[in-house]
Amino acid sequence: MHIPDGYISPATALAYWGGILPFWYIASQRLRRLLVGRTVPALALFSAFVFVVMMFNVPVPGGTTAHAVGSVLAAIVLGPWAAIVATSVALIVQALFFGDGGILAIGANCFILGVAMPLAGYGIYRLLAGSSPLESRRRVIAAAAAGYFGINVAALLVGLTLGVQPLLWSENGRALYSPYGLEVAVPAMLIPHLTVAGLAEGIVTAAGLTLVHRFYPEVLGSVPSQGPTAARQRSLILLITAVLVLLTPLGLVASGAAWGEWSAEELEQLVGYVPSGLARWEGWWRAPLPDYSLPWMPESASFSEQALAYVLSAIIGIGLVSALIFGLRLLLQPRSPEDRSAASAR
Amino acid sequence: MARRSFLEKTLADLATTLEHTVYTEEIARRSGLLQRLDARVKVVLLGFALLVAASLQTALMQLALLVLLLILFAASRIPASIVVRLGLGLPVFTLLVAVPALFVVPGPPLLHLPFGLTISTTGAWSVLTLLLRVTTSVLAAAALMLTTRWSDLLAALRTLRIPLVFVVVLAMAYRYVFVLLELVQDLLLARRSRTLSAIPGPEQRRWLTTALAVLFQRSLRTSELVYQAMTARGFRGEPRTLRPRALTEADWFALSVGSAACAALWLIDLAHP
Repeated sequence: MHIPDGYISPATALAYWGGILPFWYIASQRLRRLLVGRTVPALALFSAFVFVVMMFNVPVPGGTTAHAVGSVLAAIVLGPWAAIVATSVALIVQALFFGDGGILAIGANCFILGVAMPLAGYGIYRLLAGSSPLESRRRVIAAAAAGYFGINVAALLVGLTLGVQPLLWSENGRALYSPYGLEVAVPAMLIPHLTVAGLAEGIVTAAGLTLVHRFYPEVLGSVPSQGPTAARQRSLILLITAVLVLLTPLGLVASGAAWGEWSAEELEQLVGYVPSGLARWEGWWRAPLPDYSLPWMPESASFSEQALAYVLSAIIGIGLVSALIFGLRLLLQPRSPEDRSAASAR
Repeated sequence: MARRSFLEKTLADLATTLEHTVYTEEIARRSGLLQRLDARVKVVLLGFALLVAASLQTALMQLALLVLLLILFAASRIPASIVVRLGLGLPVFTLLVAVPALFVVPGPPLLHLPFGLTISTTGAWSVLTLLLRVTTSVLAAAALMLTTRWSDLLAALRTLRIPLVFVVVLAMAYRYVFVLLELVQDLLLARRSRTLSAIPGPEQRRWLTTALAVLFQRSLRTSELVYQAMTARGFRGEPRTLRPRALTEADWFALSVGSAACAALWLIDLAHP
């Protein structure tokens, strides 16, 4: 599940950094006031827990092993912003010290496992749990579904990220990064997660929540079971939309890039087929392409010019994503006077 | 001996993790080229080197970067056994993952194998590029982590404007990872020492769930205890960090030479279509 360095292009890695930084910024702003309280040790211990959970190899029928992540559980128990920090920290420690996941790819890994996964899972949890009482069975089932859904969203994102690499960055048909297209990468990621790892994650999430209910109900007191859920749900839906929109830099970065400008026919010559996903992507991203690539980019552009356009388009992609998230933050900002007081009482 | 059970596998993983960390600290204390540099310089240079490693298109430049990194390893007195282990870990895994690409990627045939399999030139180049890229990235990352002490790295992150909450949580999480690892190791060892025959799969999974639950419960309880200890010692949300020392001339020199080398590799690569 962790993407190592070298499997994704620098543009993809930078785009993911652009995606994760606003989330880290908002999370650190939101958690700053909690630096005094019990949240800091709770965060650290949760982070360590997530780290260790990822080391457990669950025996899987068929001889191999899979591992759970635990970030959805963190989102349900600590809240989504704290989950972003706790999971990110676990991933950073893994990348820095144990070579599990790349360093340039920290942005991608933290975004997929630390933001997309807990937010998607948390959204499902809130949706399914509704306003049911804290100790109800419905919440446990909601947690299991959330874990299952969250890890599969993450697996899909990893599959998409790896799968678009050979389509966007190839030279004479030679893949420069991960060599498998979408038609291999996505099923390769999704099948084990839809079957086994998803179940493991669901069990970890549900069991974890049950334990917290039974032994530490005061920890969960901060998760509002009733109240103004409409606004919260709206903001959650916005966030999930943002996650989906965030996939776009992959396409945007490539659209202006020197090596990614193939039409479907050219691609068919290069790779031998036109993936159905690409056909859609291409139509989707045609529009912004001529705007900034045509004026300065004649067919005979030199290599350094092409490289410049490549870097520029990466920066534009990151800028757009960041602007989007900051805009989102402005939307989210006014929502939470009572939410904050609830959070700081934690 | 029968197939290694997941218990033993996890146990071995944990032991390696712990041992690896202790060993890392030991290397970081040796006197060597990279050990002498400021952590901030190393963080910046490493970031640049990783970007360059990921951008290089020609195999020749990738090899040049690899050689450069190996020289750095030697100058920092990092034992060759570590280089071999690093070179055999993730890159070999990558090779295993990428091998089917040899046959799957269409292109002019390079080699005909039995069963009608054909290795294509494009496929072979794809796999070689990926392998070189992953190896250089792993070595670049290892160069920083092996030669920098954890406390120095945290201080460097703080001066690079990483938000306080991240650095504090990172510092504490790193410490408690080992507490929890030890706990799991004890659990596994206790289980192992009471086991005579192979444990069936369902039983293993059941036990695993319990172990995770214990771990989780312990994490929550420890966090409460840690909080109480922090309050008792007067923690008010303002952890004190050591003041970072100023960069020496050697640091500036290394920064400029290192960046220049990376930039040179990158530019040569760009000019070489």
